[in-house]
Amino acid sequence: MLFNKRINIEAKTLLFALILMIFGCEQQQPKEIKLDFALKTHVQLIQEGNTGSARVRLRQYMEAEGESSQPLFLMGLSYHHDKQYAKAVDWFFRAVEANGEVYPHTWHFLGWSHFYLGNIVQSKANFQNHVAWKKDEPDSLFALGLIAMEEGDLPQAESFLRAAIAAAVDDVATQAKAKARLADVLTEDGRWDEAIALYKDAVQQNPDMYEAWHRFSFALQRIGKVDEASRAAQQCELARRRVRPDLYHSTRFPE
Amino acid sequence: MKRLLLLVVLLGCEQHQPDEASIVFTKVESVIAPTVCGSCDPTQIIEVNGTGLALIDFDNDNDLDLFVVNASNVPCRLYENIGGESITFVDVTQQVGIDIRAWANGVAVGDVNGDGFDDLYITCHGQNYLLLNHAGTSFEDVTAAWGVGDSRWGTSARFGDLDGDGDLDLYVCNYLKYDFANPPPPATYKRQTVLGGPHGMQPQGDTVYENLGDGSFQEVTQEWGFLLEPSFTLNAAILDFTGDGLQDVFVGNDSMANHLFVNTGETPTRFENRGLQNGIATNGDGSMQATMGIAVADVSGNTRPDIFTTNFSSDTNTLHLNDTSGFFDDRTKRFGLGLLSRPLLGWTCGFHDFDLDGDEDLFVVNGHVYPEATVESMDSAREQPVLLLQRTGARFTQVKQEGLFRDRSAVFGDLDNDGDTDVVVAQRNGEVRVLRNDSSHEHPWIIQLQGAGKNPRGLGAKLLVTFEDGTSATRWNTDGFGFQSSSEPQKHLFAKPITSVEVIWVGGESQRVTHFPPNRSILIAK
Repeated sequence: MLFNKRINIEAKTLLFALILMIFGCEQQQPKEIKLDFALKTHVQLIQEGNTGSARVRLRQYMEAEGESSQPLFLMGLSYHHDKQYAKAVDWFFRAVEANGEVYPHTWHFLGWSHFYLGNIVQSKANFQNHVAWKKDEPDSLFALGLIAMEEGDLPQAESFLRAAIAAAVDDVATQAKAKARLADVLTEDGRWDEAIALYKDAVQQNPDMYEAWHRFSFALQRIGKVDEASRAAQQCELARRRVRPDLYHSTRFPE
Repeated sequence: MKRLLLLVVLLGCEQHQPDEASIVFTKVESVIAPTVCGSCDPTQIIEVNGTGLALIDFDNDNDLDLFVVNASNVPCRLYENIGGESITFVDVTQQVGIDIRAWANGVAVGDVNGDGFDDLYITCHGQNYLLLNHAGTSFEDVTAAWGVGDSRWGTSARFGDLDGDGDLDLYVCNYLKYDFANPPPPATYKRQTVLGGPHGMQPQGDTVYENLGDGSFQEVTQEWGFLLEPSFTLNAAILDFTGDGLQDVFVGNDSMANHLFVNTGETPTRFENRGLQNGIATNGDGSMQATMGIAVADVSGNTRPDIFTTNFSSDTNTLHLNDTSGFFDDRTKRFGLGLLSRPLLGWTCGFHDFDLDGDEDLFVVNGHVYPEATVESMDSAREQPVLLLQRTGARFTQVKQEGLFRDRSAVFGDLDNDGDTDVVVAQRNGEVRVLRNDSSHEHPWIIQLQGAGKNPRGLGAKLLVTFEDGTSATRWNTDGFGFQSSSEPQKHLFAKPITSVEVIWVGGESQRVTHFPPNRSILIAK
């Protein structure tokens, strides 16, 4: 029931986003809002994976200072870090609504949380909000590319992913993953040579990206370069063991 | 004003809904007893997979009867379909002499002795059972005599003519070694304590039996090349996936790489696992998934069987398109089948043209394995809706279904003989729902196949159908590959006038029919 209510509220957010998209061009871009220095420790705790401690301190902070967009955002971020996306959505949504002020990056993480929950409409609306606020935000452009792929709109996906690559000038990780996903789009059109060049570029930029190594290997296999495919597959396995040792441990499923 | 108009147009697009009335199922009241598989709130992995269903016309009276598997020493049951629009079943278990009280999980339907009456193979934790059907009047336990009493934890099983000698061989999927006296410790999932397994437990190898045609089977797992390092196998599909006329085997494993055993066509019979090379072992990102359900259809329209699999929650279901060059490409996203499945934990799935509009829709049953599962704690609820996806052009559109269930198995068939596909769904420890297809449609064109010799249902045959309007469709004569379940291949239903049907039987022999009778129904015999 609560979830349905939230969806209804977010339908209104979608409407708001559409209105923003249409009328927003006459408005000035909001200026970057820096995270409150007093929350620096809380951010650090989340980054270190001490999300439980972060949440205790955030609650204490809000008891003292009152609820506002930034600590609410960080509460959401702590659950996002734990991959508990439904809980993250609840807090992010409160952050968006708090006191009429918005910490803009909340839209971005709200977009990803909805994405991982399979809520494609809400995810798209929030990424669009983020891009409407900052048009060259590479990771939101990347996400919109993924959503366009899911919508079967390959030209749109290609356009967003190329925009993400262009925007991620100083962000090698985002550039690499956008190149690898762009390569995926090209394989759908049978553009294997272009795709292979992009995969190669992507894994050179970020050798830890084991999914891209796998797709690189498969693309090479597809065009008959069996030895190169085998070498890429070996790199995939090495990267996976390096990045995700948890997959080889005794948990039930990759989370 | 122009902007306001644009806003209205945009909002109008967002509010567009698919025609939700185009596929309509009505739940029919029935006497079918709820399934049992351990306790209602499972604490052990042995309880979570639930039990299977089978559609079998055991008495050859041209309607589909229902076999319901139960674990925990609750007897499995056979229900006879006594016909009628209301789809009425009566329990005939005792009458036909079936008395299976075991930790039974799955069931396969196949005519092992080629007498024209389908037999039942029941998988269990412990010895499996082969029940021979004596002319629709009684079933006899012939497990020992036929040599198919595999005693590991069996999940799904499939019949198919693997060696091309005309009779039905048997593939038995085995899961893992589970000791009731020494269950695994709890595990952690999304920071919640949950029941343990399968990781950390010992997987068990599958078993392949050759039908010797003399009233017995012989295990050929190693001889035919199926002996690999054991995996947590939950399902399998037997079909010609490579287009050479020979039957191959796709094997779905739980959180391990899937296998594609390709029939090399050599003598003696030999299969090679080419899952990794062909791209079907993992999803497109190289991630091993928890394959439970398998459905096969020609989604891409190139006459090859594409493979759809259902997986765990916080992962996606996966659609692999079967390219004519032998590769499988993960095209889940293009068809919009990925993100919407993330909150769901999928089990049995099936492609069928429910609305008889010429293309195949997709039906997926769902339910979480962990009783603790909630959206708040695990981003996925314990009870979940059926995912019904209507094929609309190049995509699938969700047709929302009412209700939340702990579903595991489903079988598909025309239960009321009205020319459309009905569904029976079983929950884990819960109600068995008979869903009558009440979608409106014209009387369809119906094709039935009759194989020869010891494969009288023609299991594994391929149909290439050409319609009057120049379009075409491809179908396969299979048991549906349901998780721990089996639907007898009975009817192929089509919405449009047919000009020709080419049947390619197992082994590659082809048969073409161009005359279609006015009653729109044809039986093509080999």
